[in-house]
Amino acid sequence: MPLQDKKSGKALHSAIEGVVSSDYIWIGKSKEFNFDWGLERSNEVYKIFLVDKDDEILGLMSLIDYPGEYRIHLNLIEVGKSNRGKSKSVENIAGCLIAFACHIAFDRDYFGFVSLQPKTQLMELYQEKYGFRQYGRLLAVEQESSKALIDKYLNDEEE
Amino acid sequence: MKKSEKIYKELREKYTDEEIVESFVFNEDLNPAEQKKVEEEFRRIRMERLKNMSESDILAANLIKIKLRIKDYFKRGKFEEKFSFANQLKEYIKITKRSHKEIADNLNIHQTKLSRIINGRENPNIELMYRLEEHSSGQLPAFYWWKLFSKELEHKIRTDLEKKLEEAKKVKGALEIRA
Repeated sequence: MPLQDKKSGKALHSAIEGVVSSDYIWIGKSKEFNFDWGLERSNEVYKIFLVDKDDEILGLMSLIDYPGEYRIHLNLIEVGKSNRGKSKSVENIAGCLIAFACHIAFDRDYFGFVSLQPKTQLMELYQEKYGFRQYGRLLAVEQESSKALIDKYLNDEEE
Repeated sequence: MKKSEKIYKELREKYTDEEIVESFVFNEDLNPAEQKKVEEEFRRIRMERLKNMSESDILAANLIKIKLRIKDYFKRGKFEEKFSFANQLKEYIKITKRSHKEIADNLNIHQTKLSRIINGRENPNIELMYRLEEHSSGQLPAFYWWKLFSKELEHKIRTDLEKKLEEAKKVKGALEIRA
């Protein structure tokens, strides 16, 4: 499901767009993010935000395109502090970002292939939560499992 | 201590593993030799997988791609020539790797009719849209084809001033309403 208000369970209208220079200034000042996102500038960096609150970034994602391997690599995802753990008010932020990466991977003719290289302790949980499978030391989704993430997190219409 | 280990330790002080997975993705940093080995192993598996992909796998992925592109187009609102009914039908036929003759036969329509629709000389009907849904195993629903066509039609109605004028000349006794 798309972004959801944790309290009311209501779906929230969100958008994902590429991060621009002015966003990096906001990210640096906001104290919502721990990672140094300036270091990700050479990658494709995306932000997710609520359409009616577009001055506030809820989460960020840095992607690396490996055309020779037909894959998109999830280099970094970080959900803003206010929406982590038990105190969060918006659900599914990371799921929506991952699904967006899957969308890109289909659009670029990579068969929806999206990879990540998580810490060993977390591998099983990424598999359980998002349907990733193991490819050596990396995890990935592709084809139907990638489409399933798009259907779950980005679909906003009934079919 | 590795950078990723340090990050993980800090996060673990505030969040459970489940909560970390719900809010973060970050790479495990390995030493260069380990990383090289991991990448080589991954590349071998990936290339093997790509080599063993069936025609059906490729077709399924291409159908998803077309569907996602059409959905994005619907969200953008404005008509785009690339997404005319005819152009998307051409795109669909291309990914099936079947000839126009085969597709016409599959859809139970005359090949001339299919050609005329593809060349924009004839409008598609709802029956064809239902058949396309069935032909794509439901991946491209009839209402997607309808939406493609209706956006195109709306654009045509709004912009074909010549036709508008031509038809206006044929009207008698138009209502006279003063604003």
